[in-house]
Amino acid sequence: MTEPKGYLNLVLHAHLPYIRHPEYNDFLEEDWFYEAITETYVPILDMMERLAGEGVRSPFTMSLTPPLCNMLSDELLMNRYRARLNKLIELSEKEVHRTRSLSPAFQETAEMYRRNFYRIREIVDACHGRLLERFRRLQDDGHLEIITCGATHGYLPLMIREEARYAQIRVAVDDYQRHFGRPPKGIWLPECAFAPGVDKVLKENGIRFTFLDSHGLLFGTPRPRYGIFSPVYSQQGVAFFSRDMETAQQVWSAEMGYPGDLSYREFYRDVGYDLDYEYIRPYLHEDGVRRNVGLKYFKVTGRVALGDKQPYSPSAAKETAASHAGNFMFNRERQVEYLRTVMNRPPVVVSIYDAELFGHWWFEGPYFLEYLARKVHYDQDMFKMTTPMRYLEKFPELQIIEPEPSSWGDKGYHEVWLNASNDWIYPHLHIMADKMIDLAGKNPNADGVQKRALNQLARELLLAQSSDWAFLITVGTAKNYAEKRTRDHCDRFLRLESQVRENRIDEGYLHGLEDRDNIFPLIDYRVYSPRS
Amino acid sequence: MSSNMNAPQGSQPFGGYIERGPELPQSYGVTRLVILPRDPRWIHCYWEIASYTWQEIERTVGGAARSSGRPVIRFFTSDESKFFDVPVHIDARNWYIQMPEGGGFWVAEIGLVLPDGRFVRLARSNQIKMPSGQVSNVLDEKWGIVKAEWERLFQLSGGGKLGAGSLEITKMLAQRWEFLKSISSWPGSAGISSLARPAAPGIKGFWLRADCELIVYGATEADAKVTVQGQPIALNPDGTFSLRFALPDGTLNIPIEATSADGDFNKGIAFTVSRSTDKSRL
Repeated sequence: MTEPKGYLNLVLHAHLPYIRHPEYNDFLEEDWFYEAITETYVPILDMMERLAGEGVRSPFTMSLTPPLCNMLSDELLMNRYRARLNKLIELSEKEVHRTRSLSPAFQETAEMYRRNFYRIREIVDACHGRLLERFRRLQDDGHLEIITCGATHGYLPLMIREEARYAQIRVAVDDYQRHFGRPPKGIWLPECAFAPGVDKVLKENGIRFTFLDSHGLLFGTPRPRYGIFSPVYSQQGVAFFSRDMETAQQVWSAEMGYPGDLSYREFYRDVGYDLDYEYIRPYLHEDGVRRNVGLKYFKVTGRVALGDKQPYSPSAAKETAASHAGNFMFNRERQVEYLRTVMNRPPVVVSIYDAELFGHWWFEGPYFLEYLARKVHYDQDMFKMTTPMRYLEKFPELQIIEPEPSSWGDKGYHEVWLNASNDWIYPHLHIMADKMIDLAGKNPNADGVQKRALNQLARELLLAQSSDWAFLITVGTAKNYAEKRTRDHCDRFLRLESQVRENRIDEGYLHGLEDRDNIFPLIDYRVYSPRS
Repeated sequence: MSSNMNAPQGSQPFGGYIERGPELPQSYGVTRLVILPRDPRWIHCYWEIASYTWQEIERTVGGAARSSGRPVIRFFTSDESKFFDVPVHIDARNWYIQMPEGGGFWVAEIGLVLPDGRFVRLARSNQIKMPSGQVSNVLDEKWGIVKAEWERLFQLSGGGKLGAGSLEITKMLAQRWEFLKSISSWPGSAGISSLARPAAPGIKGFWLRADCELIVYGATEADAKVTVQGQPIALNPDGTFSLRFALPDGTLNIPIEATSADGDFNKGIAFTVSRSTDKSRL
């Protein structure tokens, strides 16, 4: 094969905040996790394994954030997930029976759900629920580059102590090692948010590369010679890749984005609302409130009322996904061709998406990715898929640039996570970090109960720092839950901190916290040791 | 942030918590000033002045400082060669401050400007680097490029147009949902049909009343003239003001104008506040 004229780096950011409530049998917000396994994580895993098995060279890059990895390896959550999956299988069996007397289109869709759910159970059972091991194998075999993220997706630019930033990265790196048997080479900065000094902490932790939104690189100093189409090094020697706007728009944009195609599945028309209450009741939450259960039989159709939606056809939707993949590839060929007229080296186009977009919101998204990978491999030789490390090995000489402080949020900076609705969070987070660093410094060799308490303080601080809470408060989705989670973790930290300081640790209280907020079982509070 | 958490409200109408969680401390008894960058032009500041600091001021400067001093946040450039003051109300505890330009390193001090012009520091902040918000003028000799080529690359790089991230798709999905709701009579769409939710047990005589009002507050030079919604208002002796408004459903515009005593300077801030009330659960 001739040398390609350019490269495509596809990055999927898979993340959920740590949501685990052993104190309830049935907890609504845990659904985000269960839905994402069924609709996104397993379909993407299955797709990558299939491509690997067929020898299609399509290396993906994927962040699996530490909270997500901890949930995917949590026994309680995975047992609950299996129970949920079995319920879905039961419902899909009933649905195949029920739709026999309806139009063939409904029957085709019902059978697709049943087939999908059984396939997911087969995959989950084959690895005894340890899905991360299968991702790990894909990475070991060179088909996937897994990157890490902040320990709890904490928003680094709004942390003022270097120790706090360091702990977010160090804990993530150690956790990655535990799950994937090697240290991570790359990281997804939480919310793509960069501030000066972050690269120093990355460097110290052995991280070689990360990503910025396009203006993070484009507004860097000095001016970047290749725009956003080549990575750069910061002064610290960490490589920064940048998100391509054109490919972002093709998928995200409300007007011209692929997911709005009329033949794709309509997200908002769900059997949880459509079917007879008694029939669907066993598949709802304990409170019996109608909600989405995940089986949907209608397509987007057009700008029509939900009642006027037309039946969905899985085969027709797949054809659309294939043609969208073809369109995406064609546009990349033109993009690369054009870029070569102003670049004297092969450009790398970095396309970054939330993983959960694929499968959950855009049901056909995983098919799109699979078609795209095949087409890129078989149908053209203008560009190749690559990963950041492979690109860096090929093109080690890069311009040195100080990136612009930035994020990938609305308006490009920090306002989504710092505005009148959520700015009350930071005085608490900052004082907690001060207290944590102080305690770590004063107790360098704690053991027994004191050590357990200090470790738990580190967990509570990290959990309080999740950027998800500030985000949800701004967006207004699950706002009460996000505010309560912030207050809960701050309150637990402050109570336990005074117990440690006054040397009167309530072991029963501590045990309760360890049981409930059990993220990072191997954490060592000394990651917060004061730095000179 | 994952997009599957962005379910617009409608899809899970009764989702989530009503429980508020524990109350957190209002203050920590620690004197501090923290500044945080929000975007190229805005800084968020918050502060706490503990009693030990006031006692210290009383001892070193005198008891009158607190009442006669004008509280400001003083912003310094990194080399401290330049500074400017922003008047604040100490009890506000936090403030958003607009910067004259993007970029640069900044540090701030909160303190009192005494009648004789002396500045008494109460707390000093962390240092931050502000985003520039624009393409750098610094060119790299080693990595030179002709201007026309750079301009093409700049456009191909998105031209500095800002993000299409999670919030955008959330908004887009929420808009789609609103649209579908507005044109649908489908029982599933609103998700609040009586079939969908077991009727809440009605307790006879049980009642709930709630309303809300709006408080607007601020500060300027003590001798300035201030209008709110075009009406002149009286300032407190220290230049602060505070007004209470009724807040009916709908949108309320509150322009605030301040003019210096000599009439040479004029500044304005305008608020737009909207309220909507949902009484469907009464």
